[in-house]
This record gives sequence, C-alpha cells and structure tokens, in this order.
Amino acid sequence: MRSLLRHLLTAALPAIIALSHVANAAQGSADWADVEKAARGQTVYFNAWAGDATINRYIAWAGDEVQRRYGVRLVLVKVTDIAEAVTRIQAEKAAGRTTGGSVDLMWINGENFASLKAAGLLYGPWVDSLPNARFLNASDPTQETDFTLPTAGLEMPWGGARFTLFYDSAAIKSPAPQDPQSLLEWIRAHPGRFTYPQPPDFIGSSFLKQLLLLLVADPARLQQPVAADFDSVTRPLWAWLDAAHPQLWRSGRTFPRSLPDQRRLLGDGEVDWLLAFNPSEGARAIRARELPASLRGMHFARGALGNSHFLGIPFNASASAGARVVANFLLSPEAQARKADAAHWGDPTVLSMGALNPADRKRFDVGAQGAAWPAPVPLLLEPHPSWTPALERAWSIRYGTR
Amino acid sequence: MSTLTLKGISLQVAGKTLLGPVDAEILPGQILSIVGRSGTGKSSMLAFLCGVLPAAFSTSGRVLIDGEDLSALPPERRGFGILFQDDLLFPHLSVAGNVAFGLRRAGVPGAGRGPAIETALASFGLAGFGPSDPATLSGGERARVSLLRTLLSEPKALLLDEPFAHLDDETRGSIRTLVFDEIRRRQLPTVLVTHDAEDVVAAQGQVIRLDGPGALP
Amino acid sequence: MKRASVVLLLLIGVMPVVAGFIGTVMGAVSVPAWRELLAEPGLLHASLLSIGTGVASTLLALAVAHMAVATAFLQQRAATLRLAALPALATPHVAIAIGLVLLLAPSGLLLRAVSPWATGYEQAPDWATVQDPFGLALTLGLIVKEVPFLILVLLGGLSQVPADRLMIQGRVLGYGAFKTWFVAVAPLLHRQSRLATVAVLVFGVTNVEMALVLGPTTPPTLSLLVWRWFTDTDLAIRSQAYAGALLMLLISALVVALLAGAAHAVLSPRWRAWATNGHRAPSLRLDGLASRNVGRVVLGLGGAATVALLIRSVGGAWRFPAVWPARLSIAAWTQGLQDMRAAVAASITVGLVAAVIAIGIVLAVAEVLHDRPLARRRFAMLLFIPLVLPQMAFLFGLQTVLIRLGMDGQWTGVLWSHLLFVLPYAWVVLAEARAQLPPGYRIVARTLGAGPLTTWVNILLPQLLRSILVAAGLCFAVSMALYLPTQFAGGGRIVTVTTEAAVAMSSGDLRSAASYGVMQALLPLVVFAVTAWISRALFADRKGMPA
Repeated sequence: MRSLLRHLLTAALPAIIALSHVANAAQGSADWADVEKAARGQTVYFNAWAGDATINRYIAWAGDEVQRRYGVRLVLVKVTDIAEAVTRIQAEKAAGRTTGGSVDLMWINGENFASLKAAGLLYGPWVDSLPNARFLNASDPTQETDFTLPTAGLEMPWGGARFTLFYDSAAIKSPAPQDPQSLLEWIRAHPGRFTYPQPPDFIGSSFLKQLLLLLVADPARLQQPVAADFDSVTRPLWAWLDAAHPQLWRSGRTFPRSLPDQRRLLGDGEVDWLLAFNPSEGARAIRARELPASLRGMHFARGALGNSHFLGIPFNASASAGARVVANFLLSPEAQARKADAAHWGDPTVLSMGALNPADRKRFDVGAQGAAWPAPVPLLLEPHPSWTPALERAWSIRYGTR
Repeated sequence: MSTLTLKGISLQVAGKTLLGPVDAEILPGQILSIVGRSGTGKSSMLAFLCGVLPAAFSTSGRVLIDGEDLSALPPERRGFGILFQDDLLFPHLSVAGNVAFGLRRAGVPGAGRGPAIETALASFGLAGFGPSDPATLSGGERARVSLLRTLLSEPKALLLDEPFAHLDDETRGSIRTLVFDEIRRRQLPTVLVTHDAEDVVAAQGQVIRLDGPGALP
Repeated sequence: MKRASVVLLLLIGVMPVVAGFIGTVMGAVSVPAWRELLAEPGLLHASLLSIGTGVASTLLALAVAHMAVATAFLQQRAATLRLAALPALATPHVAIAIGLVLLLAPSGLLLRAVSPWATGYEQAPDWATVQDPFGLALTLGLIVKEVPFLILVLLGGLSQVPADRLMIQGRVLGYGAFKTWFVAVAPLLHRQSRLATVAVLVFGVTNVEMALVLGPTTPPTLSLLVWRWFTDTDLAIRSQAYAGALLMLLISALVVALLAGAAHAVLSPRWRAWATNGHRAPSLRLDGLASRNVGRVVLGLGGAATVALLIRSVGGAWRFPAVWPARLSIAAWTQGLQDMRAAVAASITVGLVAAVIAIGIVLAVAEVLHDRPLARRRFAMLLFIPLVLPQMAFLFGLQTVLIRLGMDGQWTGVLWSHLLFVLPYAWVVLAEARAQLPPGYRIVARTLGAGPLTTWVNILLPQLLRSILVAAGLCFAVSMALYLPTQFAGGGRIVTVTTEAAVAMSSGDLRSAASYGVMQALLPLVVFAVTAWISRALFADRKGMPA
C-alpha cells in the first residue's frame, strides 16, 4: 500500500512539479501586476554614485521612461560614495526607523553589499520575482557571487565591469606592456609617468587585487578569507610595488586621489596611464573631450579582474514596490542595450544573449566600440571581501605613513 | 497747567542706595534743578521718572502729576517730555518727519499735519527746513528741532538731561533762553539735571545737590 | 515673551550642537576604539601635519590681514580693500583649492606660461608643488581662503576703535606708522577679532575640504583620516571615527590653549618691551614694498585661482605645455545651467530663508539684551560653539538627532543645520549694531507717545536696516558655502550648488565642478551687490545714518 503510493507519487512527481511551475508563473505574473499597481504614484529615491554626467543622463532617461510607463517618479540622489548611503541606512537602523527609510534603491557591490548583507539591512530576496530576471546570464559567475559572497537574490545584477588600463598611444609608441613584469620594466624606463589612485580608493585597491591575482602563486587561495598566511601570499605584490614605487609619479610619495584625479593628470600630460574599472571609460572620456583621441585600452593578457555591479533595496525602503518596478525596467533588454551603447554609457550588459529573442538581441548590435576599447581576455574573479581591507591596511602601513 | 510731585524717591543698585530719598513739589512753570558730579545717579533719576530705568535698579517712591500716580504707566502714557544733551534727532527722518513724530499724539488730523508742522517750524525760526536732512543742520538748529519735537507732543511736564552741554558758547545762551521761555509760557513743571552753574541760575527754582551715593538733598 | 526669544535662539542655535556633541562622545566611549585609534599607522604624523598646517596658516593669515588692513587704512582705502576681499570670501573652499591646483601644479598655468621657452620643459616636470609632504600647498590654500575673512573681521573691528585719533596720537609722538599701528591699534583690533581667530585656527587644524585637494596623502591630515573612518561602511571602524573626532577636538583645544598661552607668556612681554622702549626709528615701515603688497598677492592668488577655474570650465583636454586649451567649449555651461536650475533654486531658498529667520531671531534677542553687555558676550560664546568646534565632532551626532526627529532629508533639517552656522554671523553684525544705538532714541520716542512696537518699527528698525542688509548678505554667503551640514541633514535629497560641486569634484569632472564653483561664488556676490545697492539707495539723503 505504502509502496504503491510511493510509486504513484514518483510517477506523478514530474507532472506535479510542472503544474506547480505553471501555477507559480501565473501566480508570479499576478503578483507582479500587484507590484506595478502598488508602485504607481510612488517616488523612488535612487542613491547612486553620480559623478558622471553621462551616467546621470542615462538615469534621467530611465526616470522619464518609468514615469511614463508605470507612473513611478525616479529621483536620483547623488552621492560621492555609495558608502554615504550605507552609513545613512545604518544610522536609520540605529535610530529605530524600520519603515519609511530615506533610500529606496541603491547602486552597490563588494564591501557595501557585504556590510549591508551582514547587518541584515537588505530587503528581499526579490530579484527572482522580476519578470526580466529570466534574461539574466546565469553562466556569469560574477552575478552569482559578489566578491565571493552569494548574492542570494538580495541584489540585482545591473552591469559588468573589467579592470582596464588606458594609455596614451601618442606617448607610448611601442607595444604596451601585457603583464606586470613588462609594466614594471616600462615604469623603470619612464620614471614619473605611471601612477595609480591611492588605496583605499576603489580603483587603487582594485589595482592591488589585479596585480595580486597575476602575481600570486596559487590564485585559488584568494577565494578563501584572509588568514595567517597573508604575508607569504602577498609577498610578490609588495616586491613588485617596492620595485615600482621609486619610479612612479612624484616618486611614489603622492598618489592621485581617484580615477578622475588621475584622468586630469593624464589630460594635462603629467602621466601617461589611466586605470579604470569600465572598459568604456576611454571611449567616454574621448567623446567628452577630456582625454586625447590617441587613448588606447588594454587588459593584462592573462586575465582582467572582473565583477558585476548591482542594485539593492534597503530593508526599510519607503517605496520597495516602486524600486522593484524601476529595477525591472533597468533590466529590460531595451534599457540594458541603451546602457551598453557607448554613446549613452557603455556599461557591459548582464543579460544572456541566448535568452533574448532575435529582435531584442539586435538592440545590442551597436557596432564598433571605438579604438579605445580593449580586446577581451579571460575573467579573474574578485578575491574574498576580507582581502580588500587587509591589502589596504598593509599598503597604508608600508607606503602611506612616511 | 500741571503740578509734578516726587514722593520719597530713592534708587538702589546692587543693594546700595544710589540716590534719595527725594521729595519735591514742582509747580507749573517751575524748574527743579538737580546738580552733582557724574555718577551720582542724576540721569537714572530722570530715567526712573519717565519709566525707562533698566531692571537692574530697584526703586521706591512715587511720581505724581496732578495727584495721579504714574508709577504703573508705560513711558508713552506718563506725559513727560525729555531733552538730552544730544539732540537725538532720528537720523533716518527729515526735519519735518522728526517734528511730525512728536506731533502724532496731539491728534491733529492727517491733512492738517503738513501746514501745522510748517507753522511750528516757522515759529522757531526754522521756516523751510522741513525736507532737510537733520545731519546738515547746525547745533543750534538741531537743538531747536529737538525742542519743537518735544513740545508738539504736548507733555504735561518736562525732563531736561544736561540739555545745553553739547552746544557751543554762543548758541548755548540763546537756546537756554528759548527753552526756559517756552517752559514758562506753557507752564510746564520741569526737572533739570545739570552740572552747569549758569543753568541753575537761569532756572531760578529749587535746587537739589547730590554729592555722591546716598547723599541727602 | 522676551524670554521666549532667548530660549528659542538657544534651542535652535546651541541645543543641536550640544546634542550632536553628546552623540559623538557616547560613540567614542569604547576602550578598543581608542586602542585601534592610537595603533593607527601614521596617526602621529597625521596629527602633526594637521597642527602644523593649521597653526602656520592662521599665524601667517593673521599677519597678512593686519598688514593689508593697516596699509589700506593709512592710504584711506579701507572700502576698496573690503570690496577686494568679498569675492574671495564668497568663493567656497573647494573652488579655491581646485583653482590653486590648476595654477600651481607642475602642469598648472604658472609653469605653462613660461614653458617651454624659458624652462625647456616639453613634459610637465615631476615636482610636488601641490600635495607636498610638508603641507605647504595646503597652508597656502588656507591662507588664501582665510585672509579675506580676517580682513573683513578686522575692518569691522576698525569701525569700533578710534583708530584715526590713535594713529595721530602716535605719529605726533614721533612714532612711525608701523609701530603706532601695532602698539596702539592692533591690540584693540585683536581683542575684537579673538573669537574669529580661534574659529580660523580650529578650521585650519580640522578642515576636510582643502586638505582633500591640496594636502599630502601619505599620510593625509588627521581630519582626512577621521573623515575616511566615518564614511567607512564597516561599523567596527565607526567608534574609532568617533574617538578620532574627539581626538581632533582635544588637539584643537590644546592648540588654542597653547597659542593663547604662548601669546601671553612670550609675545605679550616682548610686545610690551618693544612698545615702551621709546624707539622711534622707522626700522619697519608700513609703506614698504612687502607690507604694501603682501595682501594684494594673497587676494590676487585667490582671484587667479578663480580665473584658472573659469578657463578650465570651458576647456577640454589640455596637454602641457599649451598655455591655452586646445578647444574651448561652453558645453559644460549650457548643459550645466540646465542641470543646475534645481540646485540653484535650492541654494537661494535655503540661504534666504535661513538669513531671514536668523536675522529675525537675533533682532528679537538683541532687543532684549541691548543694555546687558555681559549677557551679550556670554550669548556670543554660546552661539560661536559651532564655529570653534570641529564640525565632525558634532555633525555625525547631529545626523542621528535629525533622523530621530524625522527631519533628515527634509528642508527643515537642512535649514536648521544651516542656522547653526548662520546665527553667529547674524549675531556678530546685529547684536552689536543694536547695542550701539544710543539708548536715548528709544526714551525720546517713548516719551513722545509711541508704544514699544511703534518705537521699534519706526525708530530703531530703520536705523538697523543697513546692518540688517549686511547681515543678510553674510548669512546668505555662509549658508551658500556649507557642505558637510547640507550633506548630513539633506542626505543627498536636498541638493544645493555646493553639494553638486562636491559631487562633480569627486567625479573629477573639472568642467562642471568649475562651473558649479563659479556659480557658488557668483550667487553670494549678487546678493552682496544687491544689498549694497539697496543700502546705498536707502536713506541716500540722510548723512547721519549709521553705516
């Protein structure tokens, strides 16, 4: 009797699962209609690093669209560092404000996500409930884990990024160095012409990680948290930096504050290199006439540090329905294609081309991305988040305090 | 025609008696002179009479005009007019504006004010000065405007705080004559605070000498 | 009623600072936080850097301001000097700092102007002319920014000191102008400007904006370290940040006390000996080349920095050693003016409303305290707390207060945080102006039959109007320049020209940062010009009005 039942159940199981999927899908679309209904008339405060006029204009376009289509008002809250928004949410939590928070949607990744997730300050999981989530590129490891932490549906992939080096081809005629060793040789041959933003600046810290990934004996070790072997693991990195620093801009005693600071130095002709986390930075800067058209992009041949950046919703958001509607729109093929177009931003998409219908796929055919676009190389995953502060602190002790 | 009565007035500051008690009855047109070195509380006495003494002082005694006790009244309803050594013409108003500010209480209807002011100015030898900036007048002219402004408010009694001290020698005599003449013509009981012996002689009235804190009349 | 205005002023102007400060102290009550703080690599170096740049810039700025005011006074050009100091006063710190970088950096305008024909440099040399390890560029930046402020403070004090007669007295006794000024006039001015000097000193030791742009980075100043900890998302570092803020407070207090002590113990006796030695030899002459021009050079540097900013706002890629950008484009301006509208409107609204409220409250309290100098002095001390306390020591705590009150990200919150910094300036101008009106005016008006309100409206207020206009311009300029308070209270939702300039700056979009910077300087100047014009037009035919 019992075994018969088991047989029946086993036989019926696929059917039951299939049925429940259909029911879920129906349920899902009904739920989503509710979300859109709740979102109508809401104002979504979108906290984002907004120091780039191109990105601001893209967000303004999205704002117009969601207003027109869904009746959601999107307000861009410009922050100089998204950490400002994170500390604000922490302060709201400390003050006991569990609803009616001041942030509805935020642009995050890495340590910010780690902080928010650890403190339980994120709403969700919500990403899988978005209709457009089905287009996401499931095979991209940077979408599943953010600096090795599972994203767990708490943040929505928005765009991709690869660590990129740009140089002025008018100044560097011979082939650009393709690995750390040849870069070091170039630096020695051209004192004062290379530099990088001072850690803990985001770009500066990323440069340390990019170098470490290429120099370390066992890259897999970096996927685990920092431990007592920190010194031995990182030794090759410090050796490289010790050799390079005396030959850097200002002899390695002063560093640019940030990517934009270094961009000005390149524009003014004080250095020949620019480091960025977006392969489109060069094309953008050329178009904005901030940098000369002779700018070229490159990755280290063995691989580029890569990650995705995400959208998150705080636990106490005032307009979480509106925030989800905005996020879903930003994930649509239309919005993603516009974002990938260097004329509007040039941020790589997070969608899987295979998941799109031919018409949507065509939206991404925007042609050549310009001469400053680097040739693709293998992806190197972000180390565990604990490496970032450890590297920053070690850097600061070695080079930041003399 | 009013009579001003001071009854047992004394002023204390920080627990020490500064002045008084002062008792006096001042008949219409009479001038009581209070003389003494500076710092003896003469000006504070006047401030007390017109009701603007700072709260730091404690006081006793009463002020009466025609038997009515003024102690509880605000300055604007006590009926005193006051003249200081500085003419204190309001610098943002014209001469006519200054005089008009004094005329206000007299209740002359709006339309009649212009001519009334012009007539009054003319009677003080200030014809045509109405639109002038007070800062452009001579010391004597300013003193006359100041007196006129006070008189037009039709006070029942007058307080004079060294009113001629800032004037030059030539003007002082004529202004003093003008002021004292007006006091007698209008029969105003007056308290004069001064350290100028000539003022006291010209006042021809009772004299109270203050020689220091706690001094008796 | 009278008491109500005093209580209101204390509630608005002092209470939040105290509450914020308590929040900071509570945040710093943690032994591990202090242990972490003291173990921070480079802490001593960073602290010394903060102290060095703050003290040096304050002393030099004070000397320059005194020389500039003294020469202007002797040449009867005080009004010109005041006018020359206004633009630099109105230009925000960040804008001045960026402008100086564009001027002084190896790829800056100065070196471009002489390259390559005089220097032979085809490439920008690798010199540390800004962000130098000793903080010299930072010190210079602070001097450029603080000299105009001190000049205006000293000029303000000059009007309350019988400088003319003192100078004549000294000259007829046979002393030169320099000695007379520093023996007879400067000490009186110094007494008037002591509080402002302390504010300058504390700002110099604790500022973030200028150190960020001009200061060294290995290590940076203590203020930048603390700022970095406060903006770290790792909550564990937060207590360390609070402890760091308190350390900054301790250091500022120590520096103020030490300088005051040094002035008392060392400078005072020497000054007294010098003042009374009877030496009349004009060894130092005020009309000497250096003293006459040092003020001009500093004010000129501020002006040149603004010009550099303007050029950059219309220039694109601009390789050394080109003296002029390859292509000019007003794109940043045309695009910028569009984007700027909301921020400009917000800046104007907050600035004007803050000015009106501050002036209203201060007038009421000044009326109550007009004949109580001691109470006024104590009140000034209280109101000045936000200016002499390092901003970080109470702003973080204040943010928590605002969140608890539900006022963060709201107009009311921003307005309130601006009032903290605007009120002391309104007080300085108006409380003294009111106290200096002869008391007789009120007595005369009252005995002429006017009630208290009529007296105030018709007699006292008109005489204060010019001071009110000055206060309005000053309050607006102060509100305009506030960055940290706006950011903390507004949470990014309230966007002003100043916060936008900082965002543009952080992105390195120098073109729009420059256009915002120019706008930041322009708005207060327009208000200054308008108030000055009204002030002149009002009572133009009344010579006896207080200026």
